[in-house]
Amino acid sequence: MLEVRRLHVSYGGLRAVHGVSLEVRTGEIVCIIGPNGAGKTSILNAVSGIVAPEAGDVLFEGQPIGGLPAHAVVARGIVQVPEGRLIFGTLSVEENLRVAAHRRGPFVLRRRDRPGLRRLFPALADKLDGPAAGLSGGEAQMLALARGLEAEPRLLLLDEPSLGLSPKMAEEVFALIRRLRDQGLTMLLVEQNVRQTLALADRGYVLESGRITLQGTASDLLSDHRLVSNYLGVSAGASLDPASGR
Amino acid sequence: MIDFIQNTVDGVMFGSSYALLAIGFTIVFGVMRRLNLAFGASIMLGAYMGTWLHVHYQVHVLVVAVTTVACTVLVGIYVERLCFHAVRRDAALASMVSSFVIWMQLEEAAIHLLPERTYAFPGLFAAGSYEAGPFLFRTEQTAMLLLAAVMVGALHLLLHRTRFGLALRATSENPLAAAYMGIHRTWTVLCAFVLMSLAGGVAGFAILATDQQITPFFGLWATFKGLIAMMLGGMGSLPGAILGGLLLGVVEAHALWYLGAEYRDLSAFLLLFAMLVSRPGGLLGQRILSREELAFRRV
Repeated sequence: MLEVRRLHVSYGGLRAVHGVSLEVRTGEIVCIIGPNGAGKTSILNAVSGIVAPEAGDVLFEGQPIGGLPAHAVVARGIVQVPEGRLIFGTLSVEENLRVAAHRRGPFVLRRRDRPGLRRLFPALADKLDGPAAGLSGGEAQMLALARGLEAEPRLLLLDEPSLGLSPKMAEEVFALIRRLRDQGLTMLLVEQNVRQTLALADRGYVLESGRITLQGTASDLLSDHRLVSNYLGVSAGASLDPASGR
Repeated sequence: MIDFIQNTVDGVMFGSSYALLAIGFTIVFGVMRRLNLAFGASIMLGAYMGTWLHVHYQVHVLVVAVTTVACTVLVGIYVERLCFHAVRRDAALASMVSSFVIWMQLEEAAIHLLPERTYAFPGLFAAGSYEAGPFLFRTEQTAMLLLAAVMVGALHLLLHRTRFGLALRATSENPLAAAYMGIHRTWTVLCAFVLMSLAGGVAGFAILATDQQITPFFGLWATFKGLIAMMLGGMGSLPGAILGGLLLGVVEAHALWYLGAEYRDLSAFLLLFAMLVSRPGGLLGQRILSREELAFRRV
């Protein structure tokens, strides 16, 4: 579905991504993990058209989309839920959702029934008329996700959806991602929460200093010695290993 | 006391057109965080086109009105393409300077169209007045207030009841988030300029139809009044623009009555100075300023 080939991204002469190639197949959850500043967000931004790639190809369903402006990428069905949520605080929750639906329907807005919203985001459904600035961090992340879904993506790019959330809220976000996967949504997920992400994903890429250093299926990565010692820590690795069980 | 009320009412009536000018500035400022300094000159050139038709062909006042508004919108699009679209997105100062230069060009164009100094502008009604109790209302000024109220109502509907208005408000609040949501920035900015010009064209026509004359100073005058009213209310705030415009109108009306005509503009500058010192964000613009500050701190 999505193919990135030898992607380079630079900001004012500073190169953030060095020749990254990756692939997302239909129905998969693919994750990119790696330390802060490794260039994970830059890859997503280059796919969604927020930054123009310096070099390399981005193909979506075989069509080149590298360098297209963001609105054209969204129109093709790639929607990014950005890091830090970036919800519109002065607009109501309902209006936040409608912003994403701007491509759809007539000029004048009509309030539609939202059974899907009530099912996936019960907490939001009761706060539709309130200002989005009044939501808690977890609710704001849910709104960011709901808003992204409102744009009817075929590929959803998720940038650090659990960042800044309590463990309980983060668990809810991951559960939601699982439900979306079960509905057949394809996702490219950037996360620092390595273990929960790999438990969820089909395949993963490890990004360090703008280069992919490791890739494979999620279960391969979870048992990879280097990854375990670098990102999960020794004790975490030990608890992952059923043979060492306590 | 009757004088005071009468002046206040007069001020509100005239201030309604200042409010429209301020709304024009604030819409584009909200979306772009830039000032279109050529705004007044755009209105002036549009109004000169209308006046030119009136002078040469004695067309009906409604034709003058439509011509003024339509030409103001065309000039507004020209300014947007040249000073804002063509200039790089991160070069905010370059945009403002180029809009200042275009101001001169537009004024020159207007003066070439009608080379002498002052021309008659057709009024919507013959100058007249009606009384209500102890108060006296001028017909043209009442028409101006009604026109401004209709325009504000239409703008409100457009901003709150249409997808386009929502896209505009979303872009004003957070351009990056709007881009992630697939909002077409170039198109939204162009539409903001069209709205600005519509508000400006209507304000310009209302003011000129009340004064029933136009001079080459109109562009400068309109830019000043609009900017002052916007700063009073708070940059980027639509309710602020209305409040700022009315406040400016009322203060000017009182200055005119109690101090004399030469103090009218002076009082406006004094008011702006007092506001900038005591409340730099304007009456309703505090939130926007503090958010900008937050953004700076984050960077």
